[in-house]
Amino acid sequence: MRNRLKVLRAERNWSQADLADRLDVSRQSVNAIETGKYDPSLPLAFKIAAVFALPIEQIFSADEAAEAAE
Amino acid sequence: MSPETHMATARPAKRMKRKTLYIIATFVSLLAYGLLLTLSHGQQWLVWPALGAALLGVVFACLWVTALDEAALQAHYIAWFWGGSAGLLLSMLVFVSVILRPVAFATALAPLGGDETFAAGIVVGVTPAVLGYAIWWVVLWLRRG
Repeated sequence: MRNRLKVLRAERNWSQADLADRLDVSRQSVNAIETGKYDPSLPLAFKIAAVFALPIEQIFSADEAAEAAE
Repeated sequence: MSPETHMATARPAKRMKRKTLYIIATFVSLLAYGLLLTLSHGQQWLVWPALGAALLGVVFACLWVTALDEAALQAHYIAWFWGGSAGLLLSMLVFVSVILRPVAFATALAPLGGDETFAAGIVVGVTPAVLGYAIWWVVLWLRRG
């Protein structure tokens, strides 16, 4: 799964630690999500969407490979 | 600003603060356990406070685990599975070699008493798994930056 977390964070001038504080997770967890090493659960994805005030589909999208398979 | 955004930006990192407190409390409890147990060689009654401190350490460790966020928890699961399994495999190799060459090990363990041999068995069984878990977790967490 791909995400726009880094871009959205940069637009708001937030550091990873700022976003981690807002999500109540560790900074390493934010980094893991941003770099695609960890896919968040649905509750956390909703929380991320609420923080950025955006719909989930504008933040997360399926991999190109997965899209091609569909 | 939407209500959702306001809610999210106003929220402090309570979970992370709780997690830090629980980690510190766990280490302090286990340190107290070690200290009281050492002192109990002179005064037997200190064994009970020592056990109390150990129990407190276990309780704080459980609270620490419940305060972890989902990505951290997943990292611990992966570390337990792969690192712990690799460590257990190492322990199994030692135990199999003990079964295959009992005389050689009996000679090597002869200087130890019954209690110490039993303790050595527990150490050989548990330590590699714990070390494997710890190493796997550190590598995984460092990779996540």
